[in-house]
Amino acid sequence: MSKTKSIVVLSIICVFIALMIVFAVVDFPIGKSVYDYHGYAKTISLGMDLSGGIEAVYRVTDDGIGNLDQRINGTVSSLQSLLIDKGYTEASVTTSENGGVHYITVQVPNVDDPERLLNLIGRPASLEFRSAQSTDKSEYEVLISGKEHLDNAYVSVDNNNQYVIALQFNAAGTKKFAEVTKEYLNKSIYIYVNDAFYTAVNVQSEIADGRAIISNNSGYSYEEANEFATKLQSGTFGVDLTVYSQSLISATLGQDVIKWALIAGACGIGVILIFMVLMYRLLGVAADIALLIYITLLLWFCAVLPWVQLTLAGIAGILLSIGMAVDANVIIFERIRDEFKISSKSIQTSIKTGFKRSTGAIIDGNVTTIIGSVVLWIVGSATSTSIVGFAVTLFIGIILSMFTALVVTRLILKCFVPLNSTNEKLYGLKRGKIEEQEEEKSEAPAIELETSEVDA
Amino acid sequence: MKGVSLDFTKSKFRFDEKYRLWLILPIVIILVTIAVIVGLGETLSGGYIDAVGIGIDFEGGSKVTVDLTAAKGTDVNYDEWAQKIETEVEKNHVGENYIHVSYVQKLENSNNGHVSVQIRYRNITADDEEMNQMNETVKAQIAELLGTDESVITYESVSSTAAKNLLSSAGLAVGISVALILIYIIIRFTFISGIAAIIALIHDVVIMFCLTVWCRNIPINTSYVAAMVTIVSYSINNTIVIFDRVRELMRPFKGMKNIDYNAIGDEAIKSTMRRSIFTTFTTLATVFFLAVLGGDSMQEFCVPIILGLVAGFYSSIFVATPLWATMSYSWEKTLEKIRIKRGIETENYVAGDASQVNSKAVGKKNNKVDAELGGDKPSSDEAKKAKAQKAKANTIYKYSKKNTQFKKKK
Repeated sequence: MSKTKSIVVLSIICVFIALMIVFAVVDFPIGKSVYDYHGYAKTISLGMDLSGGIEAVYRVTDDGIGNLDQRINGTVSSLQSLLIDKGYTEASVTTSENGGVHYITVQVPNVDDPERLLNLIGRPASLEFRSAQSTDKSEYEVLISGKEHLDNAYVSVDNNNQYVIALQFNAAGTKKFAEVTKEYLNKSIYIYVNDAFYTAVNVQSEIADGRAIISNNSGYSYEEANEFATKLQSGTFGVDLTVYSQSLISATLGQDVIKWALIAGACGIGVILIFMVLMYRLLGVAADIALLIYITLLLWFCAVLPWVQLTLAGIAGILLSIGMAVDANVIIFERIRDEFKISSKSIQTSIKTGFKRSTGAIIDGNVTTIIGSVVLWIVGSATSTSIVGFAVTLFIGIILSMFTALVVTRLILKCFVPLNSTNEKLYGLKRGKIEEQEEEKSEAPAIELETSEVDA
Repeated sequence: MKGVSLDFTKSKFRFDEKYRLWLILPIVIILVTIAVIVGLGETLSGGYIDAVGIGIDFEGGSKVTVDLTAAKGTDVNYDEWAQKIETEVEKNHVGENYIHVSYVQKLENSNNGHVSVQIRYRNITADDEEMNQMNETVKAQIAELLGTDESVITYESVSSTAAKNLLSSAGLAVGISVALILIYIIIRFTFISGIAAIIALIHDVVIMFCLTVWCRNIPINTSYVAAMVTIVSYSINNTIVIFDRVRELMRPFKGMKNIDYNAIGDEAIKSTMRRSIFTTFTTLATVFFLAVLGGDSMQEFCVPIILGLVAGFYSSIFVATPLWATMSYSWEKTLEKIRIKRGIETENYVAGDASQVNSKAVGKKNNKVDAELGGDKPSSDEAKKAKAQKAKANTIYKYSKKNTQFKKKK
């Protein structure tokens, strides 16, 4: 890289960091539009403990079929997966009991209009496929019912690019649906929602994979389809829920916590930045620049990704990941130092080999953590809400730290070398004693014989 | 600046010697913790749960809601009353167990605009009947404090289902990821490295848990689970970095026998020591400030992390690597035994070496015979075989640092 080129690249990097920092905190109106730009760091959505949110309490109506506790627990897990589906990864679902009446309490951080969702949950839709068009129980037979046979309902797009509601039946439902479609081949079955006639379907083929779609001749809007799917999902819950109360709920922790967390973060980052420069001089400066890029990118991702709702643990996790991001740099710089010390390599070559030989350790170390975060993500989204946000933050953190260490730091160092490639002190490097260098140079077979007396 | 040297590569100190000594500390910590839990569990009325410090999330508890608007009118001072009610509630106790309020939250009803205060606390007695009475007492007290009738106050018992779900899914996730990480390490490193790394990981989690029990004021709640998961995913890194160096140092010895695993482990630890210290320092820096400045709730999360980080630092150096060396020795011995049993002589296997093995088996443990027999250069190999035969048990092929510089293949 030529001198001018490296100056240009370095300036671009600095401008990028400056812009990222400014855009993180500054608000301004966008042109003549009605929209304002809000600093992305301010738009990071916060979890229940930091921002409060909405609490909805549902009363459980017991219809007396089967074990109530079991069905309540089933409903809690269904609610959790529903909330994760909708992007509320920090929602919490708890059950409570007073005088024999069971309640389910859902708390959702105040993001993206959760009130609407919570209302929908309280208005479940019962889906029934009937054999005849009638509301008189003696005249029809229920072929499929949402509560018993439906596993999931979600918005999908059909061949005509229309929004439809896709149904996924459970094991029993799949079997039943196959039987029904066989029996009613070329006949009509009637779909009822909340006991009201919805549509009649002519069965054209036997369906054995347990999937079906409900479409509408005039087409659904996305909102309509989404609302309908959510109601159908609530209709699959083991117990009936009715909205008992709905309130805005304050944060469990005060606003002060965020302020102090930010101050602590600033102190910690400051210590790291200074430490790196003291320890590694120019290399440290490169690491610091890379670290700043890491922090701004991480904040940006936290702001734009819907799964991230920062809780207290999330903030601490981010700060921890900053410490970890430095790790990759430390590994590389230690390696560069070793390379320089034990050989007569130039600074440039030492840097090159240092990167090469530390890549293995960095990748192996990070892959294990990535495995951990992906498993957390998958397991978490099936069972528990608050793990998902953590897993996502961790995942982003690792990918970004690998990127900044292996790509950004290397780029910056590549730019530094043409500016000064001889001053050892500037890079914090030191040659070892002559004999140590000799060791590296000697190409003798890697075996040395020493005899010593050992008592047998 | 002179710069902190922290250069361990020249240190005479051997990390591999007396590795059993290093295991004493974790074992003592675990034993003391068991003693603490059992001892406190017997004396505290809350039993073992109190001794460990399980938080409301996992224990369930009671939730009391006071409708302040209904009691005191629309211009009620929320903060003042919330504080008063909390203080009042915390006066209650069963025996030595005082109610400790875990959360205080403000509720604004979306329909009628009423402001309520909601407090949650862990049940202080295991007896449901007694707890119900306690809640009734609390209700009456608050009513008296507010000067209203009891209808504005409701209480419910809160289950711990959600938190238990969290715990079980976190446990499941950790279990699966440990298994996958093990497979990955076995593929990228060796089987023995994988086992050693996982044992170190388990060590970290166990020690972290033990030390939090010692701290006494850290509740085991959802953020504790998050802290533990953080440590699980983080602490493996330290071990991996050392094992990466081990892998590199082992490269010239591929396919050889009687390698001085201890010395290799020692060298790997020393050459990565600066990195281990620096990284632990930078990671601790941020978390430390959070713990100091962030207040109680931050401390609950950060202190376990700090403990976990320290445990992770310790285990990568004093547990994982010595364990790897020890297991490598025994693995090699087992292989030898199998070979001798089957009477199979492999190509690189020479009579002299066998006698060494035998002498090693009867000899003192610290007289590890470090012979290196290479298959790379057949001619020099022949010479060495001859020498080895001549010297028999009296020859030691000394491990030298020189050997370990990885050279790129030409």
